[in-house]
Amino acid sequence: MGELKKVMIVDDSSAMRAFIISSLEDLGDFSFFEAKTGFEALRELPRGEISLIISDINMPDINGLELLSFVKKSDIYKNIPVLMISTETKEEDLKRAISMGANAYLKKPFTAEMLKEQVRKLLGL
Amino acid sequence: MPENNKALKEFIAESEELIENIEKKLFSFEELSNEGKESPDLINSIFRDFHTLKGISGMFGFSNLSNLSHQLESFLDKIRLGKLTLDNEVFNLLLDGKELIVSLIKKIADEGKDDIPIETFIEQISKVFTKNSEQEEKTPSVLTNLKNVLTEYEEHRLSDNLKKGKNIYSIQFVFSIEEFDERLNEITSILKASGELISTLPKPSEQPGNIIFSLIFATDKTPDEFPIKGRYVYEVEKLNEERLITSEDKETISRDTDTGQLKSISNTIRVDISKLDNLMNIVGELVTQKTEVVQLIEKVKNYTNNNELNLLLSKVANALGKKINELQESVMAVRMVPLNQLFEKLERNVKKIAHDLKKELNVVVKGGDTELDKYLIEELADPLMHIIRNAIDHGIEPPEVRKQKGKPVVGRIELLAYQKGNNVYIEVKDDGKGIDLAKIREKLVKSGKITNDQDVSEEYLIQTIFTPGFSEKDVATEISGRGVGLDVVKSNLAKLRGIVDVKTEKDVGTSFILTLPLTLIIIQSIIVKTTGKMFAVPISSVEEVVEITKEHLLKISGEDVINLRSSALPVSYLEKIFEFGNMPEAFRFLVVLKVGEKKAGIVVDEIVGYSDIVIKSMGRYIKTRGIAGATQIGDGKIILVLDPSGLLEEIGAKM
Repeated sequence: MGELKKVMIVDDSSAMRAFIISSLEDLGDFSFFEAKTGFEALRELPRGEISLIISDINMPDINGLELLSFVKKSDIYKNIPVLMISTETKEEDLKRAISMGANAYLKKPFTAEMLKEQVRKLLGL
Repeated sequence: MPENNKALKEFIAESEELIENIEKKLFSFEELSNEGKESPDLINSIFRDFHTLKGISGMFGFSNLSNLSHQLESFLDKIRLGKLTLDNEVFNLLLDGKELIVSLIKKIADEGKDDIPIETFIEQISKVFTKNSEQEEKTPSVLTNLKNVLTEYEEHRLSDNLKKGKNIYSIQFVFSIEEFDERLNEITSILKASGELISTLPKPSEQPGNIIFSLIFATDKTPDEFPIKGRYVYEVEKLNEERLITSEDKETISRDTDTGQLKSISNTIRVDISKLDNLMNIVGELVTQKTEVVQLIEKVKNYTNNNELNLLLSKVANALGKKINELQESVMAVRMVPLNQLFEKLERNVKKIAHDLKKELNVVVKGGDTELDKYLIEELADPLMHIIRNAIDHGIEPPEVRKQKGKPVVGRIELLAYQKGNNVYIEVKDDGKGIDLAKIREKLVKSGKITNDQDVSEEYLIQTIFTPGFSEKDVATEISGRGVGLDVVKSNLAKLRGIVDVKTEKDVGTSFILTLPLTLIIIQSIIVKTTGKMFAVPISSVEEVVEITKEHLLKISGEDVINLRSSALPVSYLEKIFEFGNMPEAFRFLVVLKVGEKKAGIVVDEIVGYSDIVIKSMGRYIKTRGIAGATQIGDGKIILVLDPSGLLEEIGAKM
């Protein structure tokens, strides 16, 4: 399959984005869009063809849960799988994410293997 | 753990940037704090920085750095949720933690590992953690439909704002996908200037090219006063008046009616205020005796080499001190009464006076639940009434005049009260014609007090309205009213150790700001010594203490000043004011006093210590401005207690 899958990574940490990209590079044919803030992610959505969203929860302008809520409430985007990642040790945020329709949830710190496994499941690879 | 060098380099660069930002923000917070400003956004962003640091260092396998960041993040979390105060102890701890992180990052950059031990520091933090008790915050059950979308921190900010009497609005905008972020950034910065933006919630729009945003905004402005009015299109909804009755509420209501009989018994009792005065006196004596005991224990410790005994002695002294402080605070709390009743009484009077004087006005009252010692409230009724009467009579213009000036026909008098630090502030604001400073100046020239070409400050002109006999000598009736009784107001306030500041602008209005101490009797003070004499200075009026030398002293227009961070601070000496010398001998410390807007420095030889003191009045035969009374310090000696507001007056008068 030569089709490039577009993965949008929403996280305000450049190191985190670098880690995610380097972990997923050899999993398949991906193109990555890096969004530093929720706003950047919102702008990118209508540009289309996003296959997977990986988003952190704690971000400056709108938090990941709000982004998740937006995506899952929208008729156009609700079918895009969303993987939430977070350092939150509180069960609250995990429950909220699940109740808002997150397709998967990973708690930091996670290994490249754990990330790959989740992405494989979500994209049916 | 990725062996990927590129990602690791990103990590190091980002960590360095994060810790640098944390340091900058900590110092920003300190500055703002010293100015009495709150900065929840700043605290939240420091929290987020530690959070990010924890996350990425964990991802890259640096467990020491991750653990340390985690501890500091938890610390900040408690602070931002209002469960821990960022006092000096905590602040210094945070700086220490920051330093440790800097070393860890450096080690990672140089050697690729973070093997610097962190256990000792973490122990230190845990001690402070457990020392400060957690207060479970009760979130108001209003806005239950919002609760699910807000994070715990946002909920806390919501409660905090509601507690402070702010209103919560939901402001809804529709933007195009192309420009929503630009518009939002504009709008956000405008709104932040007049309130707190609690949350930004995006919603999909039915039109695919658009996006909807709901801003949850806390402010004390009404929608008419929103700075974005007329500049953008939006829908506003006030959230905190209507409540959705949830099932939780229904339960409480039914529970209450079941035990109806018990509920009707009042939770308060009436107490004769003399009994409270007596109680306060006893506690006062107890505080003095505690200080004696503590000092004695220190002496004993110096004589014995028995470590175990010393430790025990310290424990006992600390426990005793703590309990007595608690007792003192409890007794003070009993005497504290909210200003509501007084404000309501004043409000009724205002309406009557306005009617009599044929002025149209609205009274706005805010902060009525601010509390003040009952005695102070009784004594404040008259002075406040005086100030208000003046505002109505001579501040607010008649309706026709207001109409001509383009002002709203109905005038506005605002009564505002709030507590900051160890003081309570009460403001009486009017939107009338302001104090005519030009006329005052004219009058002073006419009466020969100043020459025509003499330059006097606005402050000086304003202060003349408080001089006795100001009104009698005046000819023009417009400003005579301002003079009636205001000197009495000022001296009444001085008796309560309060002061009054005035701000005025022509045709805009005038504000009278009263500053009052929370309590008159037991006060934390620093003990200073100068030319052999010791004095106690109430800490609530001490802004800072600086070490100086004679070289720092300058003379500007014949007055003694000191250059303190690029501004000239007038200084004086207790020796001069109370006439027992000319200048301090050692000239080592500058004590900067601040009450309300007035500020000056006192130079002394020594800072002896710090103590809770009980001020005893010296009887009505001894009345020196600048002295609040006397007190007995630990070793039985009796020293004078300074009255900072009186002192500042003295210094101002002699200039």
